[in-house]
Amino acid sequence: MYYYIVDSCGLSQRQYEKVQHELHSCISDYHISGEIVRITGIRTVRQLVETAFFHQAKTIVAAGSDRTLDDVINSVGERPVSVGYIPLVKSELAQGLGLPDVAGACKALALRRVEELDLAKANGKNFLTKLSFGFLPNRETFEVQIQSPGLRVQSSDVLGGTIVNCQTQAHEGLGLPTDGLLDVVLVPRLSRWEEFRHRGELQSGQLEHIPGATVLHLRSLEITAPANMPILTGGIEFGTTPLQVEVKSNAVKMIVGRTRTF
Amino acid sequence: MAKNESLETIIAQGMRVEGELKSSGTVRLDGTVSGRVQAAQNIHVGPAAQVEADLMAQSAYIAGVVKGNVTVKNSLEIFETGKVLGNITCTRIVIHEGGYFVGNCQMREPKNEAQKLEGSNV
Repeated sequence: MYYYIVDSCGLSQRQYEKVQHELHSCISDYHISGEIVRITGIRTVRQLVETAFFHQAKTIVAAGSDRTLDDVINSVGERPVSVGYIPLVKSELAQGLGLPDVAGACKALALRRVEELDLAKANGKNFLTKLSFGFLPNRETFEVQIQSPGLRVQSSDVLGGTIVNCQTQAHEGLGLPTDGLLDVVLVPRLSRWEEFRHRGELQSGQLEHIPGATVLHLRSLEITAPANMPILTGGIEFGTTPLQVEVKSNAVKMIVGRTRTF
Repeated sequence: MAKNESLETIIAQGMRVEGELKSSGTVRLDGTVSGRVQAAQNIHVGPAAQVEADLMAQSAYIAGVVKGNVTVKNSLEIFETGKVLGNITCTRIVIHEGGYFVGNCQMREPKNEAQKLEGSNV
């Protein structure tokens, strides 16, 4: 049974109704009907996921934004259920997973191409995509210390960084959700000109293209310094440092499309 | 380790790494590194790098300072700004004018050359 968790993700009532109509049509067209529930102020993703398990759902589908998918995956954890994703707003992650739009995602759900993806866990919370830290408004740099078994990395002049499990467009081996590795990218201090020149990379989060960036591939790591620095995912606070991160291979059964990039 | 062959590990200038660094792809070192570096493909040591580590790879291209043993399956190239203070094991070696090397060098005979010689003796 399919269990659809729908998030209006900030759409206006009119836009949401339009998207909802399209969603219902596609679900009907592809014969993937199931229970459809909407996230509200009193019905959180976690509660809805528990309800899905109570109803013995075999597939839980996050319909909304990347944040909705991350919340669903965090709530599902390592329990044996397939996870689907229907992007209701523009999502590069969905493109990467081969789910271009509502119709394409519904078709992928019907075809059921299941891929086992890595699941990262930071301070006990799961995440599928990536975490970022730093990039303070005053462009202040800070000291970073990262420890991994047998390895210690340190720099006193870091502008910010990301820890990537699954990247929007996996390229050059970075952000592959099936490699069992976390990709850590640290960006050094940049001049105003360099910031302007690489604004595209800074905005899109493809920091590895910035000259002078450090790129590491680790199975687990701990950020010990700086202390109490906010860690963000999708612009929302995920936790603070110190942060322990590890990745578990093939932990999420995700329904993906034919045009996936990994 | 990753299965992707193009996977690149980069230690940029200003970064300090201690311990064992392993990569299934290429490693590029521009910072300060101590310990041991092992790459399934190649190691590039930039002009600004300060490496006090043993390096192991398919090939190594050194333009910075390496204090440690370098073991490569194929070729080792020391550029004008490169310095190697340690023992080298390789199949081919190139030291550019200005390149610096102190230590012992042990060279393996290239497989195809050895096979050719064996063939001509028969």
